[in-house]
Amino acid sequence: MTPGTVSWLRNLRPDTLDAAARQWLRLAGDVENALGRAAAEIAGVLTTAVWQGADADAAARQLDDQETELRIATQEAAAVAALIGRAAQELAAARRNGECLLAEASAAGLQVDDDGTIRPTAAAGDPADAARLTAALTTVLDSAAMADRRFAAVLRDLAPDAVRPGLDRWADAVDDGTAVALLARIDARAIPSAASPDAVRAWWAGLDDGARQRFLVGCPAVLGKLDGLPATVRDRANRLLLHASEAGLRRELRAAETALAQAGARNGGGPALVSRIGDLRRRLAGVETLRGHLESAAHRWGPTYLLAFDPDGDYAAGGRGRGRAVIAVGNPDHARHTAVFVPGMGVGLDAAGDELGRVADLRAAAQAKTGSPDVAAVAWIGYDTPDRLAQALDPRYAERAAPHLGRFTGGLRAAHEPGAGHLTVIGHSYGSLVVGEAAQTGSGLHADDIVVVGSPGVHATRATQLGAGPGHVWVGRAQGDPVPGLGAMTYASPVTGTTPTDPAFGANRFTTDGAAGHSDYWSTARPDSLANQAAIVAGRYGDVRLVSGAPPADGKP
Amino acid sequence: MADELPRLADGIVITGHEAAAACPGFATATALAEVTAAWQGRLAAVGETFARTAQALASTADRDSAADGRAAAAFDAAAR
Repeated sequence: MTPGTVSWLRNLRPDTLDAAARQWLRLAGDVENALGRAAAEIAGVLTTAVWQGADADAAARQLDDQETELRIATQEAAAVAALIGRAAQELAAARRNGECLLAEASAAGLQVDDDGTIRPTAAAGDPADAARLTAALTTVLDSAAMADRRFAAVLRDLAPDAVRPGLDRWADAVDDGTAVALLARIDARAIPSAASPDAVRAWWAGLDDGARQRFLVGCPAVLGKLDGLPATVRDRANRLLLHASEAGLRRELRAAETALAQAGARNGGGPALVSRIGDLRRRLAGVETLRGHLESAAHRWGPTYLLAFDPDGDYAAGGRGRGRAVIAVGNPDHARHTAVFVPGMGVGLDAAGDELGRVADLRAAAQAKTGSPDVAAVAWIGYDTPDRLAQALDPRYAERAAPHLGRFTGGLRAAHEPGAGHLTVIGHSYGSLVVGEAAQTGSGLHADDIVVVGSPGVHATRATQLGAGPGHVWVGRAQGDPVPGLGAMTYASPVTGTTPTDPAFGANRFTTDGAAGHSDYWSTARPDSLANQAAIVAGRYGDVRLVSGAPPADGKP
Repeated sequence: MADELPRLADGIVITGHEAAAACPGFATATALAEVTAAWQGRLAAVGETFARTAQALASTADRDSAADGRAAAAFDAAAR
């Protein structure tokens, strides 16, 4: 059968390609389910087991490799489904157009050759009609043949490649997704990026599985940070970006080092190249650190979700900073209680481990309070933090971050099911200023409880300004923590000098016995502060030990 | 898991063959058949690796004096 001929096009059975596309879509779902089961049934055991040491670490690494394989397979199967589905549509349209032209030719008494030439017969037919129809049919046949070759070429690129090392395969998966998006016309502009989290949730809920997979294949960078989407969707998109980013940075670094070696041999290299290598190393180190923490977090604390990721800077506002990531321990969409922790200055991907450790400890303490695993804790390293003390005097970092934090917590609310969960937002140090700004910006924080510790101020005079309801704003100040005192000169009320620790502010001040200095609020060795925050997160207000104030009168989270 | 993964390819294998047979001369259908065959091998390989890993983990966990019995049981289950 010669491609581009009439008999070739008539032989097409697009329904068989459609059926294949559906099976590939199903395969993507089945592999994703297998991944979930592998995590729950096998890796989950490692989490709860007391098995420790080299063998346990090796076991975890092996399971990571298999998890990686299944994650890539999910993405690639979805890519094949999207491509085949689009091929079926395009080729079917070509066939329909061809059939219309053939019917017209037949009605006009014209003869059709297999190569698409249409001619009058001895008995009937207008030569002008024949020429017009020939041109039209030839165009249809040529276009169909070209599309067929294009689809086949990209499809062959989606064959599994066992030779490439792991990270390059992640990068391949992203590149393949881009190629498939182009060919399958997966348009990122169809994603309601600017819509409210509730509208995003409704949009996603209205898509069929095929459309969801197509967007995950073609637009992971858009979906990964889209507030209102389920945590599992964002996690899949962001892990793809994380691994591909690591592969890309390594490639860039190798190329830059090679260039420096070659330039060095000639003229001693160049400051620009050296600086670029330093920048690439710094960024790569941050991404590697985050990836490592995510892998170990899953084994230590169970399912972990990467809800946003940007290797360069503020994930929401762009820029080239220390990298941004939002990580949840436990699934916030289904948790009865969720805590969102906003860290202070100097935090980027390189510090993700510390922040993850804090939220994991907080989650464990809250789980102990409720006696249930139904708690999620989120480290929101999602803003461009000030790096130096002088920068921390600048409120613009918080002002820029506030709408993004509010949108993120709105997204948690929108994506939660069934019904509303109990949401606590905790700000530490400069992060408390971000929390204060977010609570007073736009539609606010959507938080049931707000906790600030080591706070220099929240740009508010009264706790009620934060919108969490009477008795639902909490503050902690450790002995010897200088920041709240410094805050009285910076982020306190400019008129009254009130900071959140002052009784006049109206927050419940909880005890922090044993904690000392600015960064001891989550110490498991001196657990009073941690236990109080855990009680708030768990909605066990009666368990909070207070220095001043009173638990909420309604007693309900 | 080890048995299940290769079977996941059944659907794509059947429809891949049907598409190739029903659309002679179409490069897309031919490529689909090739990719399907490669995927069949891929899932079989993942299944085998999974089984080997699980068996190794189970025996290691059994041997390890610090091992939690639940770990060994889970890995045993995965190996089956």
